[in-house]
Amino acid sequence: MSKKILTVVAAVFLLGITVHAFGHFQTIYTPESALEESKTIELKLVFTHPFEAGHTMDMGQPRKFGVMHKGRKKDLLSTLKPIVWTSLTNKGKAYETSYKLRGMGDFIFYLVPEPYYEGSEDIYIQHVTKMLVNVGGSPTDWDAEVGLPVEIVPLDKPYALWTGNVFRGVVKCKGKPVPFAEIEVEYINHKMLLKKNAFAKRAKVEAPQDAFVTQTIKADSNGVFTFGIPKAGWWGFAALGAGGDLKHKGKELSRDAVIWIQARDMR
Amino acid sequence: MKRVFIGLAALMLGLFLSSQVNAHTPLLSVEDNEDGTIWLEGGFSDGSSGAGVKILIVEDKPYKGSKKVDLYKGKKVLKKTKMDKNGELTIDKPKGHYLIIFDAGPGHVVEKKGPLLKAGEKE
Repeated sequence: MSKKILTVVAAVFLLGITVHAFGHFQTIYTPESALEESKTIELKLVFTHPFEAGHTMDMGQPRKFGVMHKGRKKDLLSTLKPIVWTSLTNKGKAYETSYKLRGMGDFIFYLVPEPYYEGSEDIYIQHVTKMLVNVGGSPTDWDAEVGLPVEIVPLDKPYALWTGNVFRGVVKCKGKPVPFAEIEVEYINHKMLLKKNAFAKRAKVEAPQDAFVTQTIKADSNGVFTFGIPKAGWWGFAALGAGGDLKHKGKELSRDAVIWIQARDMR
Repeated sequence: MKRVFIGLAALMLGLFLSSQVNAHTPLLSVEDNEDGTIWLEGGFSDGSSGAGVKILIVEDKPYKGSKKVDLYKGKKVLKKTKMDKNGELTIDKPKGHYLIIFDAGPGHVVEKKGPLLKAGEKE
């Protein structure tokens, strides 16, 4: 009997860990992605579980962080400052910076983080992340490839979406589409409080079941995916294993492509 | 019959061209360099450049003088210039309140108030 209980406890524990291991999302967060005028914006780089404002992972020193505007890239790695981000369950090492936008157009912020060791899966995870900010409505770079090892290239402007629109993107690895890529989708369900470096306690929505916390969709044979946006706010898309079979320090490396979009209600 | 056909074709081409033009909203960004100059960047909502577009700097009050001057909607034109090949321009701030006009033709004009010249900035 005790063996059975132990087995059940172990199974529940493992299931718990497995569920927990999903829904990692690397953020490059700023409150507003569509600006009327150029200004200095705040950016928070946090590796977390955004829907539940849950466990926040310690980030290592990022490998690349920059911005692309009108086809020109600018290295911003040296501007990053370490911070501690507070989730509803723990604290994790993260980074912040500010950036003075100049002129109109699209600014693609991109991050290649140090791989994170996920003990529960015995693998490394690396979220290669993009987030776009537009100034003045002038479209300059939004559909361009940054040239990251893996990336989601948008087919719709990530900053110009009404609630109810669809967002489409192409999952790419070294510039080539990744057929049938598995994509996790998650909503920033707790406000990110920039001054406190913490999630707000209040959730915006309640998920009826775990499958709604981290939604999973698939790309088609051309690596193209489509997602209907049910609510205003920030949504993250993580194409799992987009980089293919990779190793880091002798273990599996899941190199995932992440992009963030922001939708607004029609009022 | 041939004339009617040519007329219809011309009308359709005209409609096509006008819808192409109308779809592009003119855009103007004005930034204060805080050194007595402003930096302008112009373009269109389809991503095309504002290179060569006419720029007017206009006094932001009705002109009541007696001298013959260039006017824009009854206001004195202080400067006429054009965007450079990159759709950008740096110009000195005039004294007093003023407007910046990005004039890409009828229906494609943007007007913005210019940042004021502050004490300590060069004229």
